[in-house]
Amino acid sequence: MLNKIKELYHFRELLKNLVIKELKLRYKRSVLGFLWTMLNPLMMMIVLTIVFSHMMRFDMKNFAIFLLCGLLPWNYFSHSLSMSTMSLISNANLINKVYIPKAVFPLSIIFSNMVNMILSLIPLFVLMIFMGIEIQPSVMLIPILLLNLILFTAGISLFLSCLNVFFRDFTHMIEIIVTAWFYLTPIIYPIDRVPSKYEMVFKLNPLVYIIGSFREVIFYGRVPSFSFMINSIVVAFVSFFIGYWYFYRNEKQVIYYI
Amino acid sequence: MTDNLAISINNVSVKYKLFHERPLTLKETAINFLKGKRDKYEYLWALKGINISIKKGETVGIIGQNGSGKSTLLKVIAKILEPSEGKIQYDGKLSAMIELGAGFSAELTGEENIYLNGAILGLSKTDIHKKFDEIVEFAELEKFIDIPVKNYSSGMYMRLGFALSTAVDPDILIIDEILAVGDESFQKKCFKKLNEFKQKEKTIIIVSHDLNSIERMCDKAYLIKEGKLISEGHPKEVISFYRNLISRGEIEISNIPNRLGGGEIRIKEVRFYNSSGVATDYFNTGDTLKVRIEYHASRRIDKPVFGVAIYSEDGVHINGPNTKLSGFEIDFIEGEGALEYIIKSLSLMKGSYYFAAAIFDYTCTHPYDYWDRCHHFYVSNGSINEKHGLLYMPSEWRRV
Repeated sequence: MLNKIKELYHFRELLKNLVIKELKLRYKRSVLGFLWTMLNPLMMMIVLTIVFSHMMRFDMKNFAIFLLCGLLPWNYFSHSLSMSTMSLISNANLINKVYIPKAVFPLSIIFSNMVNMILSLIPLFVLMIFMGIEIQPSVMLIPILLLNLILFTAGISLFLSCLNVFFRDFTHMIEIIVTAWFYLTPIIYPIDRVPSKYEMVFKLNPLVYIIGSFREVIFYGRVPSFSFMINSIVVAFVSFFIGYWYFYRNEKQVIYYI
Repeated sequence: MTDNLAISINNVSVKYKLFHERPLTLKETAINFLKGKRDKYEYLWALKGINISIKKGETVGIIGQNGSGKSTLLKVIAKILEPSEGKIQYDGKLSAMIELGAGFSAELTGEENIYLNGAILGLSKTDIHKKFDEIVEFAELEKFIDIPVKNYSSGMYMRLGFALSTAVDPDILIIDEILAVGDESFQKKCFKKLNEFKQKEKTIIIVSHDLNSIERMCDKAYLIKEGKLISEGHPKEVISFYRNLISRGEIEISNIPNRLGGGEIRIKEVRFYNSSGVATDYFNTGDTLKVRIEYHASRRIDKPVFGVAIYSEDGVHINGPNTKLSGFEIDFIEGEGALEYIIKSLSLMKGSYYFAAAIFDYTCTHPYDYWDRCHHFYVSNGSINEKHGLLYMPSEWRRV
């Protein structure tokens, strides 16, 4: 496994180039370019804010910001998942022709999406200043939270990209799972609205820690509790190592199925 | 591994699972599992017990019919496939050209693709930066380097792919069948580059159907049949062994679309030669083309008729002479022999052409051996400026 990590390090130039390619292809032919990255969550925020605070009378102060704090990491997670699930299959030609550590394909998606994620934090902060919400020093924790988010997403992405080569219908299943996961994670509602009898279910949902911590830090402006932070770090590393382990155990078989 | 070896292949085998009913989806797998149905598959050995040692600075060719396992072997050497058994050891940096431009991204420009593909081949940014001009120059793409490669012609695409693969400056270069593409001037360039590699004492491994170029370029050849190494040695000897197997019918060349006949006489070999007597498949319009048909008659055959035909790539029947129609009567043949058909000045325009060769009985109704469009040759324009149609007919214009 250590050798594999070394090899991956050797191919960091490729990883960098693939990330640049992803970003270039995404923005090449669109007039608004990088603005799309920022506009997309803003649009969704506006729609959801109208629906929840005006139609469903979900009464909360600064609901828009509250929403965005959960929506941005969620978008990162779900986009990365659906893109990387297809990443090995869509690069089948290359995998058959050149020797490359295959992990670079899902990982390039993880990293290019992270660039988008970080960029989309900009309009969030602008919006907060605009709405007169004070940005607390707790935002200094954001780099750690991003790292957790990357590790967690990378683990699941590595796992799925490999699994999808063996079972091609997994893509459809992912859509269902992701949709369910969205509603089962406190993104459009605060966690304290969850009835106590379901509390256990939510405690087992790793995204509660991974995504929830962003809201703590940015929206509530407070440092999450120690156990909350530990949970989120542990969850991230466990996900990463399981995904990574599965990927490298099955990587060699990929060529026969692709 | 001893010092002077570039690659040492030890007892390498590759097996594929050959599925009869392969579940591709989770749904099918689950249903099969519930029904208690096991996956039906058997193992297919694509390679079995291959042992090859390639010395540093050697150029070796791997030959064999389609499906013999030679491409699998190449993929194993290129690390794309992991062998099921055995081990391969390397000494030196490896670069494989299994398909030129495999990693190009259509929407990106030539320049962006150079950086991306350079990285795929394991080059660092500074390496690529240093070699950038050289790559562009070799590919002759100075004017086109900032347009997306989807707008490139296939020639430009190939040139860029080749330029990139050689820019890696590998110690071991692996080439699969790619020298058969591109126009003549590009081919010459590629061969020149490969010769430079040879002079620099680099190791080159070539897989090709083009036996002539294997014979010309390689120091050693390996023949693979049904996943096993059956002959190795001097290219001339290995190739003649291979041709022998083909003529005896022990290897059916699967890319032969049509071979029929009674078999009393077998055509062993059809080869094309240019005016200086060098075997080649590449000609210019106006060149002399000589076809040599080698045969083996298992018994005395009276009054055989040799016939040939040329077809264009899209199947137009261009000519079809035979010895009877030309008044070149042959009394009888027996045992080994050869016949030559010579076109003094080739009138064909640029393109790739099929060649058919046959031996019939005197009534021209019974074929002894008929290789229908099993060979091809390629024609380039040369000094001819005409562009259209199939034929070049020497002519002049006059104003009256």
